[in-house]
Amino acid sequence: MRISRSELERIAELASLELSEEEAERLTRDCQAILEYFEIVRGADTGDAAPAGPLEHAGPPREDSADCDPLRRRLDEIAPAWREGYFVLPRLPAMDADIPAESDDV
Amino acid sequence: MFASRKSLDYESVIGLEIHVQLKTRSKMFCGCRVEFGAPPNTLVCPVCLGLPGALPVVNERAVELAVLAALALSSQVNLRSVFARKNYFYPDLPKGYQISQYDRPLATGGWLDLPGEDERESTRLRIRRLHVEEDSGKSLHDRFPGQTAIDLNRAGVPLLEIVTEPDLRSPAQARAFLGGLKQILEYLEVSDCNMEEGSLRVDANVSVRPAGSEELPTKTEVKNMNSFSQLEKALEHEAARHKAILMSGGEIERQTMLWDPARSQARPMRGKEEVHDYRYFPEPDLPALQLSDEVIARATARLPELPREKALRFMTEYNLPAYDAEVLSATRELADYFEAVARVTANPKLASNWVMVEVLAVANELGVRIGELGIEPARVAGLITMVSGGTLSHGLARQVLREMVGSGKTAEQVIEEENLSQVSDSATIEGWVAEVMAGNPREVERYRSGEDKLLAFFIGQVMRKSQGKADPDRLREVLREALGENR
Amino acid sequence: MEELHERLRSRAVRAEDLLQATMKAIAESDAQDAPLNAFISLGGEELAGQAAALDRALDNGDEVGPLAGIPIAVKDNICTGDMPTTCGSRILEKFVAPYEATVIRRLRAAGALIVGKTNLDEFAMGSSTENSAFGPTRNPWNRERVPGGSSGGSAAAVAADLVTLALGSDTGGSVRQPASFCGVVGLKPTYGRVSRYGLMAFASSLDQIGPLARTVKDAASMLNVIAGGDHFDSTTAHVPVPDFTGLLEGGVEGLVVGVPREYFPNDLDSGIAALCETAVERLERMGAEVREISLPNTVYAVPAYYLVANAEASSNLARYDGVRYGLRAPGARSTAAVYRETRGMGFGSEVKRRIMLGTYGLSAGYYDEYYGCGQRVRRMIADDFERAFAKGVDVVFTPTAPTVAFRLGERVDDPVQMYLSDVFTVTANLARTPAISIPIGRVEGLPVGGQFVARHFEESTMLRAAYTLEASMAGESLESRA
Repeated sequence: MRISRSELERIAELASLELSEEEAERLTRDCQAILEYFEIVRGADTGDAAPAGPLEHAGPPREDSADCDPLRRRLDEIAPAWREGYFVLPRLPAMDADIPAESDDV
Repeated sequence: MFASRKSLDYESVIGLEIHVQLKTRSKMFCGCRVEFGAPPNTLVCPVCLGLPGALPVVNERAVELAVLAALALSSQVNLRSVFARKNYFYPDLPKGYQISQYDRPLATGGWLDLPGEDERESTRLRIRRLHVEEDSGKSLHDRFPGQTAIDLNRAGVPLLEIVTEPDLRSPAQARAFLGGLKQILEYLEVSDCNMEEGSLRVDANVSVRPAGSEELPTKTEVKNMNSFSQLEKALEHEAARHKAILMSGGEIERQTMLWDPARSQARPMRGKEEVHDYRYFPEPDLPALQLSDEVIARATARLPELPREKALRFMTEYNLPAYDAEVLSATRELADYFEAVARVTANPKLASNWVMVEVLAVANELGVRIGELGIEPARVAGLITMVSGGTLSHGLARQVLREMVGSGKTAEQVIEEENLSQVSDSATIEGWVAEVMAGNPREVERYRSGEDKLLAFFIGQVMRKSQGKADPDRLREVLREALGENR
Repeated sequence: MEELHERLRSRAVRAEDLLQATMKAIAESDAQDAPLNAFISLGGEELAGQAAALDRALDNGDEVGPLAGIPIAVKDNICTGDMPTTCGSRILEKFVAPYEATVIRRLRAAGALIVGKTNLDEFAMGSSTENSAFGPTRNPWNRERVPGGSSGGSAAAVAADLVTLALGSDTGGSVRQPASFCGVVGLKPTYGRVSRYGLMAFASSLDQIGPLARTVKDAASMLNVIAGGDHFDSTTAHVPVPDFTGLLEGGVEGLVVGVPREYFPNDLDSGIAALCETAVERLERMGAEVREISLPNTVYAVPAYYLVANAEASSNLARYDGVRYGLRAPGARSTAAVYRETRGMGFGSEVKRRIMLGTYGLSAGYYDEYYGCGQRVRRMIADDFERAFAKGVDVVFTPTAPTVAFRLGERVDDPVQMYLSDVFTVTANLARTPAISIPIGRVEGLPVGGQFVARHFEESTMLRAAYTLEASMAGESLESRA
């Protein structure tokens, strides 16, 4: 298994990580070495092993009552950019043009 | 060859993905209040803000409502389902992933029967799956110039996603399906299903193929349709676009189209949308969702009578025509109202006419639901009894009904206060008739020379003079007698 | 700690004075050429107020909690409400969480004084506390050595006697391995025993908060306070929590101790192997039945661990996007640039490596080969333990780490070597079992830890074994180092 530079860039895009040229080079090398090391795991005879999944026990369910853990600080104190009650972000049509008027991306 | 291809008939193949907000007090995974229209970012907590370290806890009620919907759609509720993370970056998605369900949804399969032309035959449209998930927040792109404003009040609101099989064959059928689904969900009281407020949202997958073909051609996804008519319009638009491309020998490109309701046109979302790789994996913060047979049984017991069952029962039990039965079962509220009136009057057909025509007309005029009129069904029944008993004319009764809106008064009270009781006294009626005849000698002459249809004219004139109070039956007798003289 | 608690109650010591002394000791530990750097931030006025209030309560003879006045350090990935919680990352450099973790709520309710937030590998990703945006922590036994990680600050603070107790988090050994390197006790409870609400997630299915202490008994008293089901964490188990301190006595007579041969490879440091052997002999002498067992899938544990942990981490760390809190890259001109640039400048290289590998392992076409494979092997490793326990083994005994504390900088350029520090600890996280590391001696003057692993929710059995072994070694190797 080899991870190519272009593959690395695709993954960085998925992970929204800006990488410098030097970082990208180094990451390609590191990830390659780590992935090679991970190959040991192929020796495991996973045959009919079911993957470990979520927990099967569940605690008591939450009743539908409106009582959340209240915030102890105002949001404008923690937000990197705040305007009239909203978190705000810069928007550049060339980069963010296709963001619809309202998100339906669910 | 090419020419014959051109002449083929095409049919649409449409599948819908519907999101409805479940009607809960609190959010899907935290105790924040669910409310439409609150000031931005006021209904938030560590969990729905996606603060580091915060963890989701499932809202029991949301699951119950989803189970109820699944049962009503004949879907197989899975006793074990698994939450999964759908990973993507979006400004109003606080955690960078949405908690949804993926390969182990809450319910699988199911269907919705749409009535055909004849009430007794219907089209069965299959449902693929139902699952629960959380809503995203809202990104406002026009709040501040050059900025995107984020409001997270909606983030974490419980959603039910319903995915159909590609069984829909026309935009009109898609619209009808959505209408039928909305009706059921409203009956179950699992959602407000308000498209304007966004508690009902629909995306569609569209493709077009030669009629009768079994192929599944390349489809496109259409998003952002915010009303029933926009859904139909957008689908027609998209199907026509496909058809035009196919007829000119072109190929459909798989993409997502964003419908612009203001311009009635769709534009493709940028290609980047297509590289989305959601990297689903089981949500490690939540145990598998286990439902006991008992929970399902309890939900089944709570299932109300659904619209189609109700309509059929109205036809058999009350002997109503199919049309009446369908109109009256449109909403649970209307149906209950009708039944309450019918029970008291013991005359279902009359009750049906009154509720369907008169009461509904008043509600429509005022732009409110029937329950918001403030007239108890028993009072409508009382009014109907007076009409059928002959103490009130139909016309007067209508007037009385309008006076009853929001007043809390009975028909009797209105009649008394407004001095509206019917006049059957012959002497008074004869007086009005005499006045009308004296004022319209030419019409009297024409009637007497054989123009029978002028009787209606005289009735109208007397009714006007009596302010509608003249007993119509008595009036008719008096008129005939008076006009018949010398004939 | 018991003694300290008594002195506070008898008013021989005042909480305010104790707090001042603690702050002074912390300051001194950093005022050297090779600063210990165990803490990222320290409590301020709010903390002083809590100490004063406790003194008033104690003066009045009021009932106080079991940890009243005890100075406690908390790993800086647990939200404390008052102090910043940075996760050792630039991306959260000034972030003060507007809420409090469940464990912190419970500790404060028990009267504990949270004196400060300890250094860690960024987002708990590392085994040396060198991957911190706030500089490395050093080992109190030898300041040229690492304290282990990722809870290195907490381990160092306890080992240097700056605090009595500390909280760490353990995803693949992050409490136990630094406990081993620093000569203290480190406990990872059963997954689900302690609430994770307020613990900044690294790998949700593996993370567990646990105590670091100088003695098994102290660790048990801390577990008493933090354990138990929590309505804010669906993965906690709502099972009874015994009084762990009350179950320490009783010895190991008849206890079946499994010693898995896979944890004693030929290339294991001979000094460490010898100390483990001695420990096992002691247990046997005290009446335990020692059995050699096999946990055959151990060899796949480290890669399986990273396949699972990285995938979860890549998703857990997506929320650091510069939108709602934390760092935002200055000058980013589009939404997409805010994400990319903030994350690019805010995360350190180890975090980026793991996000990349985790994203890769979940991406279309690779899921089954990576994340799916990791989860299948995980199941097999859990089954190994299940089988051993089913055959009557009560506790498993192993070395905690394959080496003693290594030199600062020695492994920073070799991620795979760094990952191998966790070779004996990741299995307990994968199998969700409880595990504890206690000091069992020294090699070349540096502490060595031995690890006990027990059945799910059988912390009490494990603690009893550890306590008995600890007592049998009393006075031999447990003195602390400043």
